[in-house]
Amino acid sequence: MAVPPALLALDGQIIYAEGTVTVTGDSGPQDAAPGTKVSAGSTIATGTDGLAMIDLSNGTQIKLREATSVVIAAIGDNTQVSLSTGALFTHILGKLAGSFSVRADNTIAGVRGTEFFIAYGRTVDSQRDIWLCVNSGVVDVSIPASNQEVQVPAGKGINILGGTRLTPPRGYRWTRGLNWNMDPSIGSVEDHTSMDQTYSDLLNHDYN
Amino acid sequence: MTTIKATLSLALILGLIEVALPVFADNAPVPPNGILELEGHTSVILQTGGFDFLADVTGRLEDAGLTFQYRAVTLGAYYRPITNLKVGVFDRLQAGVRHDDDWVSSPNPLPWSWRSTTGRLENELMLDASPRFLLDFLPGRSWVLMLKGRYIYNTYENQMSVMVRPELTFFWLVDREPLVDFQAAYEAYFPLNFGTTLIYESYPWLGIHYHLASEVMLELAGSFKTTVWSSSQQWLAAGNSPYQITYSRWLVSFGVLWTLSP
Repeated sequence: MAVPPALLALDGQIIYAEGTVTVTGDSGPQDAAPGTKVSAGSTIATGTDGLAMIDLSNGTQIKLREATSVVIAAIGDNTQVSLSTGALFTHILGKLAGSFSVRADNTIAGVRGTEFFIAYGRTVDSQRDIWLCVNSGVVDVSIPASNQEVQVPAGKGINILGGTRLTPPRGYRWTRGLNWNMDPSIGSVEDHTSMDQTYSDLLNHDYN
Repeated sequence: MTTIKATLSLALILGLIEVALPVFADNAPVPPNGILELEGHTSVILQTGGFDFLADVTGRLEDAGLTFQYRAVTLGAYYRPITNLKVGVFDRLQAGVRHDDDWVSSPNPLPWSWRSTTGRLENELMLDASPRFLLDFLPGRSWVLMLKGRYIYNTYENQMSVMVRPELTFFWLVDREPLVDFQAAYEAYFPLNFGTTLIYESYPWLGIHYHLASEVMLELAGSFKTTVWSSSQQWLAAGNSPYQITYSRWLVSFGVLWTLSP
């Protein structure tokens, strides 16, 4: 039976993979390679040596760094990705069709035509910090459970403390080292920005 | 009449004693006559390529009249070979420092007075190593223990010394970033080739840094400094009696610290 074109559009696919990358869907886990389909409910995970880029078909691409796991919660007009661990970059190709959001713990980052980076930071008192910074466009960040919302503009970032409290957007020096490139043909797509450097290094203070 | 003569004689004797007293006193040095010193300094740290380049300018008001005595410019860099260790090399150009025998008037030691050393330039080469550890098991989890060790070679009479400073810092974090830190330290200078005492200068030190922004900190610090001046070898070789002067005073320090990361 032929699959209607409208349903085909609800699939995404792996467009680039390095190292260990697995896609877990209805048929169980499989090693991922360019062309591997992903759909709503799929889990994509990279190993400590892995990197993956995924086209989510609505004009959105995401890049998963090493040791990252995401679940495609929904795909289509309202594409939702849930970040379970690690870090990812987003990139919108042209005009976003529908909406796109990334969820990390209780935080939702809603995208309006933009590039942003989201990652888990340190765990403090059993709660994970979430870092988010925007390269272009604007991201609406919200924590629905506590009615907190903030708009993060390009060049700014925020730390969602313990995943429960939004901080004011500001410029962070560490974001300058992020590799936003998602086109392997023009250069490396790897990003090794240490999330530890997003925190003040208390051992680096010398006053005299 | 006899009473008047006796009274005049007594007055004359007392007068002579009074005149003679400073002469006797001049045979032994006394500490400078101040109890408070005020210090100001500003530092710029440029963090680049794994190095922290440092430039510091310091000035200090000393003695009873709070006169501008000590001034110094320090240039150098820290390098961090491992997370828990920084090493540094610094050069300091300074003036206004009092050393042993700076109270002697040459060639005749009597009457003594403190030499003005504000015009005497000295150069210090400093080699620095400071292991530091995060004591995250303590309440607040943002305590840092540092043990700074510094070798100092002063071009003035080739004096060498070692400074040791254990230092405990608590960082008060707001939104994961330091807002204020509190420091307690004890600093001691051990002379290697001068003086007759084990410790030349020492002081407990308390400091507060307010992190105005990630690039700017304001510093307020206080300490109770004790310095011991003692006979130099030249002094003793000249057949003079050994001496030792201990001078204690309070020091209040203000600072502005800039950290730049291009």
